[in-house]
Amino acid sequence: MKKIFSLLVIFSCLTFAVSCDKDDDADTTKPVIELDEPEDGDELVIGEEVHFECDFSDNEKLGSYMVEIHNNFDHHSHSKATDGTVPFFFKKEWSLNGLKNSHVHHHEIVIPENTTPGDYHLVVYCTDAAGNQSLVAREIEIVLEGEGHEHHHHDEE
Amino acid sequence: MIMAKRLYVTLLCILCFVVSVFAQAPDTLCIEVREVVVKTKKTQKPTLAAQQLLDISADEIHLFAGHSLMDALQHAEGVQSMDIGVGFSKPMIRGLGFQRIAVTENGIKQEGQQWGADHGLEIDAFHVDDVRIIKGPASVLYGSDAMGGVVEIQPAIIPRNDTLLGEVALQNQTVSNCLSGSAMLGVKRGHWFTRLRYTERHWSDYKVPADSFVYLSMRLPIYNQRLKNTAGFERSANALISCKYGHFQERLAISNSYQKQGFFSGAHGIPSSANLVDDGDKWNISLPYNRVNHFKVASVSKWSLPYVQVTLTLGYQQNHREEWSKFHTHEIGKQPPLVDPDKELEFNLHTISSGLQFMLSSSTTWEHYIGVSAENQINTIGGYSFLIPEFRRNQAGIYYLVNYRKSARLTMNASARYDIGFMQTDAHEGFVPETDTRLGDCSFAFGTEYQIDRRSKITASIGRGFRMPSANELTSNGVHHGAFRHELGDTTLVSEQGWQLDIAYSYKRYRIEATATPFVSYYGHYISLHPTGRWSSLADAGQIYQYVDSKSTFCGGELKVKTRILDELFYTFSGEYVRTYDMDTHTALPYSPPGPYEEHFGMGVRKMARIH
Repeated sequence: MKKIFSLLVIFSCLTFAVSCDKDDDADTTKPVIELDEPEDGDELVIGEEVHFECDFSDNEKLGSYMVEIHNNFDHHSHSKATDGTVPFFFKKEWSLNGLKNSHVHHHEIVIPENTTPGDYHLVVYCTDAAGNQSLVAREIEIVLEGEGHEHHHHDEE
Repeated sequence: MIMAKRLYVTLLCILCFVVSVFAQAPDTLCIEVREVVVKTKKTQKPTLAAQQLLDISADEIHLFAGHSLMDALQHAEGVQSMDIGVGFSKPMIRGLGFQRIAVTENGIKQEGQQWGADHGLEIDAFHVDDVRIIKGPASVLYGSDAMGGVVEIQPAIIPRNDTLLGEVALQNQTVSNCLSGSAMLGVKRGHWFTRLRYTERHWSDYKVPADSFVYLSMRLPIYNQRLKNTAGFERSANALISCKYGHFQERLAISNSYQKQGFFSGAHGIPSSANLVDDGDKWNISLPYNRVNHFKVASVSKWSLPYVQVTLTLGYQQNHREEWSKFHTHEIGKQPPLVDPDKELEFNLHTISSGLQFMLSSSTTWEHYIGVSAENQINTIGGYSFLIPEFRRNQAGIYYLVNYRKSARLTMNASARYDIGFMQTDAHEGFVPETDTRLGDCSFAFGTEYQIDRRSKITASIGRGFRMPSANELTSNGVHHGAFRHELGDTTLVSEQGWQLDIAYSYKRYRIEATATPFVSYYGHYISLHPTGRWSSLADAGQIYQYVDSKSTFCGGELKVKTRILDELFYTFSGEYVRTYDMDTHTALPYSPPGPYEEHFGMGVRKMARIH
């Protein structure tokens, strides 16, 4: 009986030792994305640059961010091969150089002239140095120049 | 318990009477003793005496039956149900899930876990009688996939006498308007027993007490408080034919299970509010949806001779799964296929399993089991998307197990197994190259059970288990909407290997029963998904997650206390705790069970009526 008790005690110590050998010192906090521009429902004009403005922050170190724009025509029932549409697809990544906070403002994304207008998604992904990932998605519309400007409340510059 | 007690008392009375009769030998007296029936339950599979077993009765399963079999089983301590979608759930034992848990029925391992995380079990919960759960490594007896444990569906009990059985069960759940109906008919005539069951289950779109939800930072509407397109249905047919002639017994089980289930449009890819507009019908299933068909034939033949029992198990099963979603692509510029343009993914897996086992028991002290088993698999794929390639997998194993009963109080066992496996995967242009993997490994276990005194018992076991990496861990390369992640396999992965040590202490008195089962395990190679920090080139995908092996530890335990307040009234407390730790990244492992511990309080009159 005593032997068994000591065995149990040893075992619980072992369990305890294993569970306490190192604290969770790894970074499990996701980076934070605050996307100011474009906003949900914004209209982006064909042939123009996209005003992109975003704040990234992390508790430790930021990794990189990526912007993706893909079509949302018929809401995932995409264009058939032969109807001549040119859905715009954009995907590019930028490094955040291991900073803790970063304010990004650029006009590097250009909507090409041959883009078919319609509903699109704009998604911003961000990782930190430990691999934690966050994303922010926006439903946007790509329009021809001169169209839809009356609802365009985009206060660029 | 009460029955057993009564039996003992009866036997004792008879014995006393007989003894007293013989004591008065001079006068011859003739006594007629009434027939005494002693019943024992013979286990189908050999059990390691010291293994952590949990038996769950059919009554308990039917009492807790929810949407799937796992809803009922998760009430057992140490067992969790990983709910991966409406109507889908996977078993998890002590924090281990997916291919690390084998689910067996009629001696055949249920297939279908190779396709990633969002795949449930195709088993009709109504058809299940008793279930036995083995916690801890059981790959010695069940092969490479049982590294974390086994959910063993026990064979149906065949009535002794000629009889006609029938059962009609109806069940209704309000949240999803789920209506289930099941009918069973069984006939026992002479040597033959046949049991047929048909079950159908329909559910509508789920009702939730909310008008909107936030997903991927977008606030999206929920119309009429119903999650659009979560309706579905399930039908399954089961047949069992059994016969017994002398020493020979044969069981043939045939089952087919079909499920069609809509995917919530708000969580399939990046949602758009236009997709969530109510279509006015809460019962329809529109795109995207998935359908699964699982067909299985299993035959178990047994020759029970004096000292030797030979069991031959043969099985064939086909898993056919399709996911349908309007054509969209993660590859830029890809055109929809001409045939079935909306079929996103298709998997078709054929599995042939076979096993031969000899049990030799020359005395009540020694029991030997020697067996061989083999499994052959072919998987073909279809659809416009790619997740895992076509593959062929062949596996064979040989094992030996010995049980030694030193005395009524002390039992010991030892077992060893060697497996060899081959897997070839086909190349899929632009995604994965052709691979050819050959892996072999051994598993073993030692255990002992000691009855300390009338009230307490202790068991201890140490085992090494292993698991060969599956097709998705080796070769997946694509985005699956169920997980919404770009998952990448690694063809250089080796077998997962782990050690587990566990102890169980149980104490029993008239009104109280308590069990404590601590465990600790260590895995030299534990395969899990890790973020890579590299962005996927596919559309609609963030960073790439890759299968990586790392050193990991698991520890925890279960505690159960059951008190009997009145004869039929119980109060049960059970708690469980699992801590997982990845020693390379210093974090918990993905898919660790939620919360530091779980508590179930249950109270009620435990008397169930089953009408036959």
